[in-house]
Amino acid sequence: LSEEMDHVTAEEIRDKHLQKDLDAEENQNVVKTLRGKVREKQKNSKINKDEKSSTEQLIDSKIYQRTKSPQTEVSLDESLSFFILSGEERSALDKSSEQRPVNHSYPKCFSLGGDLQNVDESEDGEFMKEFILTDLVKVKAAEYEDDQEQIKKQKANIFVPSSSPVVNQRKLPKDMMPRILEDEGFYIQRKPEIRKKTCNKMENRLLKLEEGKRWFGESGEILSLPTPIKQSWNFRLNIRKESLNPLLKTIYRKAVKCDLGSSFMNKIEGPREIYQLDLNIVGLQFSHHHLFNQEQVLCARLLHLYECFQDRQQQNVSQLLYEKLKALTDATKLSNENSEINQLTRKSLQDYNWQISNTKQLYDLERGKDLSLLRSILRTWKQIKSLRQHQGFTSTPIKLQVQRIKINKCDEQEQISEMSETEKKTEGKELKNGKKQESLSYLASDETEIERMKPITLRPQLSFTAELTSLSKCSLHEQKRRAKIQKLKYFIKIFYNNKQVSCTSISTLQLDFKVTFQQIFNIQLIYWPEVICLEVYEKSKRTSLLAKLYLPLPNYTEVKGKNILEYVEFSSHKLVMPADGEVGSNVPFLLEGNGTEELCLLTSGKLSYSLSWSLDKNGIPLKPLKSQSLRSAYCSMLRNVDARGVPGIPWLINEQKLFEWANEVRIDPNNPEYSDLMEFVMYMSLKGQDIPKYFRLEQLQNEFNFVSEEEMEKSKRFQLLQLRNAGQLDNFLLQQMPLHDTEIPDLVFQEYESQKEKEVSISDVNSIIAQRINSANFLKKVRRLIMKRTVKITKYNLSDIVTDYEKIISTSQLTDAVFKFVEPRRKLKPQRKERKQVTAQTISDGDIKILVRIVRAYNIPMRKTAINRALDMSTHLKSSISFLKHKETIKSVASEEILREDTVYPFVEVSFQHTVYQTSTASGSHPCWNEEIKVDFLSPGHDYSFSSLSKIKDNIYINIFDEMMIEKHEDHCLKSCSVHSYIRKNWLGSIVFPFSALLQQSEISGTFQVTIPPVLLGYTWNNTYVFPREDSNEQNLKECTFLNIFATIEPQISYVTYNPTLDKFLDQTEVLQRAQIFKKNCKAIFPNRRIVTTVFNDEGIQFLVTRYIKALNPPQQLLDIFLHDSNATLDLIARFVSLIPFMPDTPEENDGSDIWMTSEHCISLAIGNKEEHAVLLCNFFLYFGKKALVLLGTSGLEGHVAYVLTQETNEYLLWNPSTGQCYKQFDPFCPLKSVDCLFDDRNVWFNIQQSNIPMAVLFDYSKESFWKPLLPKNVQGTKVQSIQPEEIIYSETDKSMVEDLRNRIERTLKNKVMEWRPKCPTRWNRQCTLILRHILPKLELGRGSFVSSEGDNEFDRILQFYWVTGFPIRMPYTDVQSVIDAVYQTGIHSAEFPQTEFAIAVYIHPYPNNILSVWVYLASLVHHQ
Amino acid sequence: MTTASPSVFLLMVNGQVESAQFPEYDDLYCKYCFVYGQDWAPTAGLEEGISQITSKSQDVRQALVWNFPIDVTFKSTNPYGWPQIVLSVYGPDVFGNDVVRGYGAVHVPFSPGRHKRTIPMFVPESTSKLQKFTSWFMGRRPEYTDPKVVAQGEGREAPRAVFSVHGLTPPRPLASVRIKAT
Repeated sequence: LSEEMDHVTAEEIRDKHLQKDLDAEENQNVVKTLRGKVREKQKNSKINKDEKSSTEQLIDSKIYQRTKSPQTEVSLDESLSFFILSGEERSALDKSSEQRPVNHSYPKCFSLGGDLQNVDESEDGEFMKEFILTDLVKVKAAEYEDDQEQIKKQKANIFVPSSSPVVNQRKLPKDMMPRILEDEGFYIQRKPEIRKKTCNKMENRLLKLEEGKRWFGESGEILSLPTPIKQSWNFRLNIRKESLNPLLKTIYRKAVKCDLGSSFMNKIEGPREIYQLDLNIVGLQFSHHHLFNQEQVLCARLLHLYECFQDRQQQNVSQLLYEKLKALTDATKLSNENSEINQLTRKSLQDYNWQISNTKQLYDLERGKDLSLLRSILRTWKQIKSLRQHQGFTSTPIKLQVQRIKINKCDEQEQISEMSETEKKTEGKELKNGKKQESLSYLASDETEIERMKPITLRPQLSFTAELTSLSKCSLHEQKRRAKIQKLKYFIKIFYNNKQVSCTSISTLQLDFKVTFQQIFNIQLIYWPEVICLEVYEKSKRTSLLAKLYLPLPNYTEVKGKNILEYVEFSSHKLVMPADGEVGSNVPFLLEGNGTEELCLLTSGKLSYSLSWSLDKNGIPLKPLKSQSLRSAYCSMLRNVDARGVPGIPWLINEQKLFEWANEVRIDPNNPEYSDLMEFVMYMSLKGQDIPKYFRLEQLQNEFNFVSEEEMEKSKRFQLLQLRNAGQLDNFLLQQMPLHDTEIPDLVFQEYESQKEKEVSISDVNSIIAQRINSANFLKKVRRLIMKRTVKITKYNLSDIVTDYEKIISTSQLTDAVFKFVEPRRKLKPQRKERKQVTAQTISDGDIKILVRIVRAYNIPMRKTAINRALDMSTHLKSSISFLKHKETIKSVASEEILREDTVYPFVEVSFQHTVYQTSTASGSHPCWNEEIKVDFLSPGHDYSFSSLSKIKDNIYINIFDEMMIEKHEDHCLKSCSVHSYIRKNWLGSIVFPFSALLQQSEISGTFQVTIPPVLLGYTWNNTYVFPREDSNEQNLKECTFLNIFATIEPQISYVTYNPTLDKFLDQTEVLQRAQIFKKNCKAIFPNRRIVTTVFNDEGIQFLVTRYIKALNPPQQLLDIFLHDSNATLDLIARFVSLIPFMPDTPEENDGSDIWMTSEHCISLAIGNKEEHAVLLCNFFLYFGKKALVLLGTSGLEGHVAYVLTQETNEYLLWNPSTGQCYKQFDPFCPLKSVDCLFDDRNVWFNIQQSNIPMAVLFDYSKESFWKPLLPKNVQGTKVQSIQPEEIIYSETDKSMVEDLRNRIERTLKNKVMEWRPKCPTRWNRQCTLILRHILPKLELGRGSFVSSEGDNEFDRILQFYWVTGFPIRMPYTDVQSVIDAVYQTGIHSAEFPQTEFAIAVYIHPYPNNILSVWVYLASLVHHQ
Repeated sequence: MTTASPSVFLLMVNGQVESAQFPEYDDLYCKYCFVYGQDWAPTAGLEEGISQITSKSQDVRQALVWNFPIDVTFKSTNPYGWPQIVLSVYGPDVFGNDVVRGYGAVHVPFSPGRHKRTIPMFVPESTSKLQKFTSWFMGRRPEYTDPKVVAQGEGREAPRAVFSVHGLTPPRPLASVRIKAT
């Protein structure tokens, strides 16, 4: 009822809302009626809670509907009516009996409707008072619900499952006891562990559910899957130190592939049903068992004998012979009776006699056998009896009775059989025994002649009727034995074609040593039956194999009934020691009855079974048909033959031999025994030798192999894919792999092949070129080899993958981060922000740019005006003595011309990857450009990963040129007209740095010395310029040009670190390990500083770097030049070292494991990396007794470098082996930017000073606080054997080859220059070339004594007519291409002026071992107007 | 031997990123891109796209429906490197920062026809609680520089060293893409 009230109030509220909406008057009425209804409802519900059928109710509502419209004159709002209606209907449907009366009230209400209208007024007022006013006016107390109440209410909806255990009864259906399967012996898998509390809660919760009970199993526990977690390891590690038992060691045996294919029945061939063999295993009968006692042994024997006897009886040979004899004697008698003896009868008589005697003998023999058999039966029986008596119990039910058959002599037909002896074989009866004895004696004695002729009249009968002594009466032994018997169980495994297919149930051994299985196994065949094997297992405490039985396969032609039993005998030679009165097996024992007889019996017995093809419903045997396809016949034949195991037939090995054999033996083709064979022969002759040898599944596999392996190998696409995978297809890498072979150009392979060939042998006429190429290839090969041995793991940094991620380790960092928010922001204080690093993955083409900012240059050589050409040469001729003096000569010349218009208009060109960018032209020798050049950068292969970028070997060239305007008056024109002006650029110098250096350092900035050719024709130095930092060095800076540049890669590419992990097999001696640890420690302190402790030699063996350092002799040729000037010699040697070509090495390789060759190799191969150069230079310096160390660091321009540090009396000198230049420690223009590591022949030191700038570094490496040594002091003394040779033997360079090379270079250069100027004619000035050629050798050799030759005079002559600009370039010889490139960079060819003439001279100065210094003198001449 | 136009096979993918289930987040948008092997090249259509921001549906499913179309055609000569679609979902966090809500990748279906794929999404998370807090606090969640890493094998070890990439405790974010390939 309360519910109903709620309903009503809800309606009221809604009504109130409606009230507002509806028109006042009309709706008043509506409301009235409604109110009335509602109140009526309430009243009625209170009054009559009577029953009312639902049908009535429905009718009522219908009535209501009908009556409503005419009755309520007031037009009801449709929605309202709907509301009422629906509400009513809903209530009608939902609520059942309780609401019926309510609904019932409606018709009443409406029947009263007419009155209602009249009563409206008063009721309305009442209503207003009652409800609306109270609602509006009445001040109600704030709604409050008592906590307790609330809880109560909540309890209605909220269920808190208790964690107390649930009684089983609640979980299970009524009257059911929980069934715990585990207790019943079922294996129940472990269930996942749940805390008892949780489980209880869950159970409580589930029980609350309607269907909750089905969550519980029979055991009353929640159903759950077994826990998937494995509890223990399958494999237990052998922790014990002692070596494994040799017997337990695993031996490798090669897998033997067995040819199963032919035994697999071919389903495809012919319609085939299922073939089925029925194997009925009936039981086992032991003829001997190790649990036999002596009685049973005897019993078994008796049984055996009896069986024999019965067999004989059945054959009844003696009876037959007896009758034959009788017949013969009768015949003789008859013929004797006939008196007349003719020839014939006599003969026959003789024959009869002979036959009689013969038969008699035979009969005697047979009878004797029978008798002895009988006798032994009786003897055994006697033994049994005595034994039973002796042991006091019977354990076998066997009983023997002997019947005597009396044969009447007179009446032979009549046989009266009488029981001569009925022996009740009860133990106690001596009397009977005596009787039997008697009978025996009678038998023995009663042998007369006639008697002999008689057949044996005794007939023993065996029966199993004897009572067994009950267990309680037996002796202890026997009791134990019987218990044992009961414990023994047997089962049989069935193997079909050597695979276990089934297993019988386990049956117990019965007391009579029989095991019955009585199981029929239906074996459905897929494979041809080869072997059916039964394994009999004995199961007592442990299971052991007793015997293996091979069943003969049923013939394909015959179908046997299931009930015909067959027997297989088996025996086991298992040794079982007897224990409780039994005899054991395979153990000799004495039979108690007669002490002399020692027996040794094996467990044996027979298995009764039947094996037959089964019959289907229609009685058709489910056996393979003979008329099957030849192939399967062949198979079956082979199997049959195999199973029969016909010896001496080699057919399985060779079919040919089989034929031969068949021919030889001439087997009967109609003999069913050989029908298989004949079929086979026929098949073979039909099909030839083509018998598939493969397994059928493989045949299917072949069908899946859409292409054979050879074809696969041949496939070009496949080859290409393989090559690509091996990373050997650099040029093809970017393209898509062609889909078809025909689309693959042979060119790809040719290129690859040629690449391979090139590596193998290069034959060039010129030995020097050949050597260069060979050595480079050799090194490449070595490097690749060694790289193979080290595994590189690319380690991505976290920042490579995850953006904007700051690793916060300590709380202080966190507070810092928090403070950042609070920190006052000073707007005018710019803060340096680290550039964002960009990972390679996000970069695509065009994203990367190289920014080069050319700030300014200092001290650029000035143009020498043409007017001063005629100056007296004599002045500078004499003044030039020293090494750099020739420049001074120019300077001195120029000094007089200072005030002339000798200016210079320099601009800078930046070139990278054959694209050239140019700044604007400035003027003066100290120009300031401050221009930024954006060099576009494209990575080959669009791969912007660090590793591929670091493979870029391109250099960035920054060349300074002088822009020169030449005006030319056209000859033909009049004065006023055209004056052509030509721009021409003259090369002044360059800065070169490799791209890899930029990549490593991310930025190159600073003032660098510009490499300026030793001679710049037509240019002079400005001597008025005072260098700003002149105080710091004594060097003559006036002849040096400096350029201030800043270069970087935008955006910064993040550096991916490589972690080379060395293979373990490398000989890790203690020192090397120490070195590794040292390196790791050092890297931990200063990760950015370089350290190399161990390197590989060219054979891939690791060495400590110190072993590379050893004093070595420089070439004698060099020592001879400056005998007295040691400094000059050192310079020369440094120069010599710098002339050894460099192998470009990538930062990637630098970082990990380096390969350093010995100095000797380096020289003989004429190639080396930076470190090898430094080592070589250091070794030469040591030869002079200098204190020299190799220094590893970074150079501003070159990236990672190795320098040589020499200790002079009061200073340290830094030698750059790549240029041969020597810097003082405090030289501000020394390109070395960091000093990281030092090493000599004794030790390695790592710089642990705060600063590693050369100027700030203290080079006193004996102080451990500054330099961390690899080896402790006590070890330092011991000098390790160096791997360098004692002495380097130098070979003289072949002069003719040098000449050849020189000619080549000159020729190619000339051709190239012409090639580079395709539009203009290139004129060569022979005279100038000649002069240059003369000058060049002096540059290399003399250095100091340059000018004093007549060549200059000649030069002067030229200068009178021409404006000459030119310069010599010097470089080590690596290959021709590099020379060409260097010339190209100078841009000398780009002169536009039509009358320009050129001169090129090449000179090669040979040093020992094909190390060459190439000089190229380039000059361009412009004729004076 | 080379023919003018080497033969290729085409893979046309059209479908849409239908909807996602991110029970905890709202106002998400998603980004898709493709990762494919070197023998593959897109020939038509858009390889990448960013969807509109969608709000949760008001019904029980609370699905974030984008119905963002994908239409791209690849050509290739080698099935190796079959395209993978990589989806990354972003949305604002409490402080209004745009943070990543999930990454996921799936291969474009191998067989033609209609396919519907549901991709479990994950986000890298720091293993340290403090770090987690700060990243939440500062709105700087760990985020892949390139969402394509989720489809690649290399570089995965880096997050493993410092991060554990959770499958996120409840298997919560699920985005489903329906892709039709012909």
